[in-house]
Parts: sequence; structure tokens; C-alpha cells
Amino acid sequence: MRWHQKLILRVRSLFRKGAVDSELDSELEFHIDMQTRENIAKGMRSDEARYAARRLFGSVDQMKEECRDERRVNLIETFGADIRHGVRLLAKQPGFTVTAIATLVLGIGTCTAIFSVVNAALLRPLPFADPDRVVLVWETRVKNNANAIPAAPGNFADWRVQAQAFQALAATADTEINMISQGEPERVRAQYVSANFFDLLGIRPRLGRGFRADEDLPGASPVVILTDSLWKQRFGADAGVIGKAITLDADRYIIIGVLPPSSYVGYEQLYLPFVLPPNHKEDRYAHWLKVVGRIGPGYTLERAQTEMDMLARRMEKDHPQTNTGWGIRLVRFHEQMAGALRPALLLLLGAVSLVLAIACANVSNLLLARSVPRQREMAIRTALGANRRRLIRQFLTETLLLCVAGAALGLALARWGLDALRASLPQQIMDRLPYLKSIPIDARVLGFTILMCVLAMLACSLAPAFYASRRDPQTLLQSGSRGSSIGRAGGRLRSALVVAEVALSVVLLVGSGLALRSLMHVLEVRPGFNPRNLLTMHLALSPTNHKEPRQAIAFHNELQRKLKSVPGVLDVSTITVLPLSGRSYPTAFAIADRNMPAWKAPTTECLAIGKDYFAAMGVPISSGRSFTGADNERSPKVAVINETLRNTFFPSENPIGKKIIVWRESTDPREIVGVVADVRNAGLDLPPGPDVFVPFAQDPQLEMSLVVRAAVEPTGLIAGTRRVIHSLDPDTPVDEVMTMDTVIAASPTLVWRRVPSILMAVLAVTALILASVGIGGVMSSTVGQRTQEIGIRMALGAHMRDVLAIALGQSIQLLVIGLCIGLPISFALTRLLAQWLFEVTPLDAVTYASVALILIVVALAASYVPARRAAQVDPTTALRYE
Amino acid sequence: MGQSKTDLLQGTLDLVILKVLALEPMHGWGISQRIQQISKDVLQVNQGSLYPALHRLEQQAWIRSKWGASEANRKAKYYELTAAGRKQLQAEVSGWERYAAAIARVIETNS
Repeated sequence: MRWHQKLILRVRSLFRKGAVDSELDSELEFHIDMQTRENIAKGMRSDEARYAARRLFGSVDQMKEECRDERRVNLIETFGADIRHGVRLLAKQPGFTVTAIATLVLGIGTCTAIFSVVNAALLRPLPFADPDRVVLVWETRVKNNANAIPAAPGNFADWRVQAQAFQALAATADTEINMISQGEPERVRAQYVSANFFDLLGIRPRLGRGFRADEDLPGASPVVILTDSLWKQRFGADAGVIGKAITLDADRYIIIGVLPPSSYVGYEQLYLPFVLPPNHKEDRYAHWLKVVGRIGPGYTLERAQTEMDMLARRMEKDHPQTNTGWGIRLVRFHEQMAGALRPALLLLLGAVSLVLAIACANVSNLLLARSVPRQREMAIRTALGANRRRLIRQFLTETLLLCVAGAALGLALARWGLDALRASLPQQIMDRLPYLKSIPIDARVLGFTILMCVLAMLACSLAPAFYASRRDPQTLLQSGSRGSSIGRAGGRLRSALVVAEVALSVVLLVGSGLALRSLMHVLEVRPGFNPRNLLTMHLALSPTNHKEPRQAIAFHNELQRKLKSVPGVLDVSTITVLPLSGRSYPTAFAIADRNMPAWKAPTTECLAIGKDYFAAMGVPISSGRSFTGADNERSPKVAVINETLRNTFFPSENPIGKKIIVWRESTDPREIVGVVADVRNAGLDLPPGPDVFVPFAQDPQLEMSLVVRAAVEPTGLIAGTRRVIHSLDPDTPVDEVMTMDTVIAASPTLVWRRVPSILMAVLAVTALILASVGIGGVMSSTVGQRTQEIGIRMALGAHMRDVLAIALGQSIQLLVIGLCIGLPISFALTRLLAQWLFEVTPLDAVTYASVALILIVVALAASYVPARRAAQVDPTTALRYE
Repeated sequence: MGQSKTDLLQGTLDLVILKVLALEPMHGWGISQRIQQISKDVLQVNQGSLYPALHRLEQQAWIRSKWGASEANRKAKYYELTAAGRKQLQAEVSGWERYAAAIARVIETNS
């Protein structure tokens, strides 16, 4: 309504302030003149009449102020004044300002850092067109409690024809492949994808083209699409690569496209067309396709799921032999990708919000402490006509300044912290987190930081503002010219804030204590082998140079023979899947002559090893023998099992001499010749599973890890070992060159435990520091207020020790209340941690006791300084004080 | 503000000003006089709150001001009702009537 008129009025009020003010003056003068005239008419003397007229207005200046308020001029003008005033005040108290801002930087910075990870992993849309419609299509089997099984090619072919809910379906399969272009051969992560894959996702190459529809059909000429990062690393970001050929394993592929930088899909480095075998429509046994689909327009995820359920029922009827008991499950791509990170991230987000709450309590406390000497300022301003709202606004403005500074520096801290965190993660882990390659500070993160800033401002300032402005100016002005004490109510408020800080710190300390104790337990776990002075590396033999199994066996034997003669090398061997490397290739097995139905075949990690593997790794043989050079491709098939397999499948008999069948290239029954101690292959914190070892010569592979036991620190052997490998086959890429200690430290389950634990610990220590600053602050101001009392006590003969006891007694009181509140909350919340705990119960007494002890020690240390100062006061000065 | 019984009820000052201005354009002094006069001296306008109220109403575009000559041949600021102000007056009057009637009913109820 008449907004333009209002706008004109307001603009005029703001910019033509002088004119408006003088108009107001003459308006009021007119009024007073008229009133004076009337008073004279009533018979007053003229000076008396004028005075009476003026008096009717009360304070003219206050009224003018109100008029300006009504014109909304003041809102903007006083904001500017408040900011100037605030900056001046804050600059005058650098100690307070730095402490408050540092506190807020810690609170807001940690919150922003964690939130930006949450944003990158869980909130940021995937770099696809309409990403919410992109789903993964898994098969499920209720009987095995499995709900994310890759699809069988035959089922996938049926879905493509029959599923109405999908606009498009594409099959993918992950692999690793040897790339030879220029420089050293390299092992790269690759993905086979249906030709429509990139169209389905809505990703367009930045260079060249995508796959054509016929390029995933048998007989198509081989082509490859590179990711941006591989293009930059290996091809120097050369736009001329399009049309060039590279060798991948044995074949030459033409590079047809390069993906744009932000278009991660998984963690692969290049994409190949997925040419399914000609008979794939009949294959409903081998489940190995990861299927991606785009839900069609008009379908919700739920409707699409319902339709696929019906399709699954139909396929059960059509193919009872293979499809009975199989279902289909759709999972949003996004959910699948970040699913593993979600609980850890949400937990950390909860922890950082506690830290922010503590930070706010602390700043609140500092503001309250500061409001004592400021009470006179407030009183004078109130007496001069400032109303309560105006004073509160002044407070809010000052706090806002602190919070804005805190948020700005907090963003910088978050940036820096995230870079540090990313740098601390091993490369293999980062490769698996493509969505954390960039953790942007985008609009959402900025919005979150601004929200945190405003919340912090409100949380920090409301209590002090109301407290300070509530007091009656008159009593304050009368109450002596010196700064008066904060009074009981303020003291109680500050104590309550400290108690809250202590309670929240307890929760964080208990949480991180439990996590750290779990981590320590995990680090104490013996892996089952001796990791000292052990060098490992991963090899993938070139398929061109090792077409025949015997070529791989020859390479393998020759490599070990040559390396053994290198000076400093004690033992050399190989294994197809290195323990704790994060790789796993489960294989079905059976015990010969036992009636074991195929559908519930147990799985094992079947590991092909060099003959000296157990000796090189230091794995003790429990019974029977290890492999020898005589166990070769021509000799009878043999196997060694681990103790877990023996205990599970041969609980009461001797397994030596028994036969075991492993579903590898050769399914001949193998005679068990030995039993070895368990090794934690999957993770230090995971119980060992059943393992079967076979001689490399009886199950040759192109991929293997080399283990070299050295007499001394083994990194000096790296160059020589590489030379030996490349002298045998220059086309063999060597990667993951690490000492065994590094392998253990970088093992995925350990990293997933270590990173959140350390972050939690950092947050808990931050909380502890903040809380002790809070306690120390409260102590020094209470002690300051009680100087006189202390003086009297000392004059009456109290010792320094007694005074100390009084002062410390108070902080112990606060601490105990804080602990009493915090410990039960921790009891309740640590259940959320259960999945991260390892050999520690959520009610671990050691953790709780140490948390209480640490808190008491730190808090007493923080309050000792002010307490001591109080105790050293000269009684005569203290008595004269005030 | 003051404690006098003849003070206007909070919130009714706007209504009274609008009503007075509905009769004819008027300056601030005249408005306060007119209110006393019409209400037979029962209502007294606190002059400290009259001008802030006038500025508020002007800010809402319910009244507008211009300078004119007063009876005593002096320059005075005259306020007059705008169309929006007239509408607002109607709304406030009916609101007040509802309120007064409700209070009357409450008072008349024999408890």
C-alpha cells in the first residue's frame, strides 16, 4: 500500500535529516507558543506560562528521539553508532576481545569444517542431471540376508526389456587394468560401462565424445574415455589425446573423450564400453553387474520399487531354478555413495555442536564478567533516556561484531583444518572418496556459517543483555562511584553457565575417551605376522607377456630367486591378496566327501602364495608343513588352512590329509598339508575368517603382492626391487609400494576408526580448554569480589591455605555439579557410539574415572591462579578495598 | 508515562487522532485541544506522545502533512487524512466498538 510514498518519506527522513529535524523543532515551538498563550490567557505570568507549557512535554529531547524512532531513522543510524562504539570498546579490551573471538573461532570453525564435509558428502547434489532419479539396482536374497548383490547378466537383460519404471538402465563392472602409454606402466582403476551410461547420468565429455550406442556390442572397435584427473596426470592435459591410442592390458584403445573435472561417478580413472558376452542373456548364475538406472518421468522411487517387486515375482515364475528367493532393491545413488560415512559424520556434527554450545556459554560468561564494570555506563545511558531495547541492541551489536569476526576466522580455520585432514588421509582412502576430492565452501556452507554466527550471537548475548539492562539505574548510580559487584543473580547465572560447560565437556570427553580406548585396543591387536622391516608392493603382470600360466609361474619363481640374492634381503615371497590391503576376493569352498549343499557353500579368502610366504611373514605353522618348491603345477594339488577354518570345519578331527575343494580355475580336491596361525586379513578390528592358502604354481594369477623381509629398515631396497621387476618384465606396473607398518596404518578399517577418534579427541580437548577458561574466569571475578571478605578473614588469623581452600572449594562445587549432570547424559548418549567401540563397553569405568580426574585436575589448575592471587592479598589493602 | 486517569488508553491514541483529522486538517496543538474539547475534558493527550504518534501515522501513510498558516497567522504544520487513513479509521472504529461492546457485556454480567 502506497509503498512509494512510504519509501520517499523514509529516504527523506534518512538523508534529509537536518530538514526533518528543524521542521520538528518549529512544529514543537509552535505548540509551545500556543500553550504559553493559553496559559497567559488563564492568568499566568509570561515566563511562568512558558515554563508550564514546556513542562507538559516532559523531556523534549527524548520525545524528538521517539519521533525519529517512529521514522525508523534511528534503526539504521544507531546501528552505525553501535558498531563504532562497539569497535572502540572491543579495541580497548584486547584481552577480552581476543579470548572471545578465539573461542568463537574454535566453535564456529569446527562446526563449519564438519558441516562442509557433511555438505560435500551428503547434501551436495551429485554432478548428474536430475540426480535424485539416478538409482542403483541391486538384487537381494532374503535367505542370505543380503540386500545389495550385483545383478546377473540374464536378469539385467530382462529388466532392460521389461521394466517400465526406468527411462534407461546401464550395467557397470569395476576392474583394474595395466595402462601403457608413455613413461612407466601404471595400474589404473577402470570401469566397464554400458554405452548409454553417460547419457543416463547426463554427463557430457569436456573433450571429444561419449560412447556411441553400438560401441558396447561385440566386435566394436575398442575405445576409452578418460577422467579429467587421469588426463591431467598422465597426458599433461593435452587436448590432442583425442584419437590417440593407448594400450590397456593386451589391447589398443582409441581415446575418444575426456570427462569434465567435477563429474566423479565412482573412483575409477577411465571408462571402457561394457561388451557383455554373446550368451549373457542366459546367464542368471554369476552375479557381477552393478546396475545403474534412471527412473522415468512420472515414477517415484516407491512406485518404481513396487514395479520392480512385481517384475521379480514374475521372473521367479519364469526361471524358478535360478530366481527363486531373489528380489530387486532400488537405492538412490547418493545414498549408496555416502552411506558408509553418514553415521560418523552425523556423530561428529553432534560433537561439534556441543563444542559450539560450550564456546557460546564461554563468550556469554566473558560478556557477563565484562558487564560488571559496564554497569555504570549502562546506568548513565539509561538515565540520559536510552530505553532498554536500545541498550540490548547495543549489546547485540557488540556481540555481533565478535561473532562476525569469529565466523570469518572460523571459515579460514575450517578451510585450513580440512586441507590438513585431507592431507592426513592415505591416498587409497582418498581414492575411494571421490566426493571429498573437493570440499567446497559453497553457498550452503556460507549460509550455515552465517546461521551459526547469528545463533551464537543470540546465545551469547541474551543472558548478559537482559541481566545488565534490567537493573534500576538509580540504585546503580547511587551505589558508590566504584564499579559495583555483579550481585547474586549475575553470579548464579555465571555459575550455571560454567556448570553447563563442564557437563557438555564431560559428554565430549567420555565419547572421545571411549573412542580412543577402542583405538588403543585395536592398535594392540597382533596382526598375526611380524610387520617389522617388511617391504610390500603390488604387481600386475602384463597379460600380453604372460598369456600362458607357465609364463606367470616362471616370472614368479625368477623374481623370488633374483630378489633373494639382493644384499640385505632375508626372505622374499608373494601373496595374491596382501593382508590389511582392503582388497578381498571371497571364494566358495567345500570339504570333500561331506554333504554340503551348494547354495550354502561357505566362503573363504583363497590366497595363492610363494613357497616361503609363512617364513617371510613370520606366520607360525601350527601343524603339518608349509609349501616347498616341490609343490608345483605338476605335483598333486595341496592346500594349507588357517586355524579358524580348522576350528570351524574340523573341530574334533585332524584336518591333515583331508581334502578341500576351492572354486578357482582348478576345482580339483586339494589335500590339506598344514595348518597355520590366523592372520587378520580384513582388518585389525575384524575377527579372522577361514583362509585357504594354495601354492602360486597351482593357482597362478597376474596380480600379486610382493613381500620382502629385510635385515634393516627396508625403504632402501625399493629402487633395487623395482629394477629387478622391470628387468624381468618392463611392462609390469608396480604400485602401492609401502612398508608393512604403513600398510597397517593405512588399512581401511583402521583409518575409519582413527580419523573420527582423533577428530573427537581434538573436539574434546577444545571443549576442555574452553571449559577451564570459563572456570578460571568465574573464579577470578568471584575472588575479586570477595577481596574484602578475604581481608577480614586473614586479619582474623586465617592462613593462606584456608583462603585457597575457600576459593578452590567453590570451583570444586561447580565441577561436581557439572559432573553429576554430564555423566548421566554421557551414559545415555554413548549408546550411539556402540558401533565404534572395540573391546570397550559404553560404560567403561576406566574412561569415566579418567574423564572425571582430568576435568578436576584441569579445572583446579585453571582456578588455582586466581585463588592464589586472592590468598596473597595483603589484609590491610584488602580491607581498604572499596 | 504519567499515571493520570484521564490518559488515553494505550493504542487508542491513533484512533482518536485519525477521528479528529477526519473532521478537518489540523495541526498538532489543535489536535490535542480538539480531543480535550470533544471529550469534555475527560481525555487528556499526553503531549510527549502526541508527536511521536503523528510521525508514526505519517510513516504509515495514513496521514500526510503540509505547512500552512494558522489562525494566529503563524506557520504551522497541518496534518490531513489520506484515503488509506480513512480506511484505517474505519477499521479501528469497528475494532474499538467490538472491544467496547465485549467489555460492556463482561461488566454487565452478574457474577
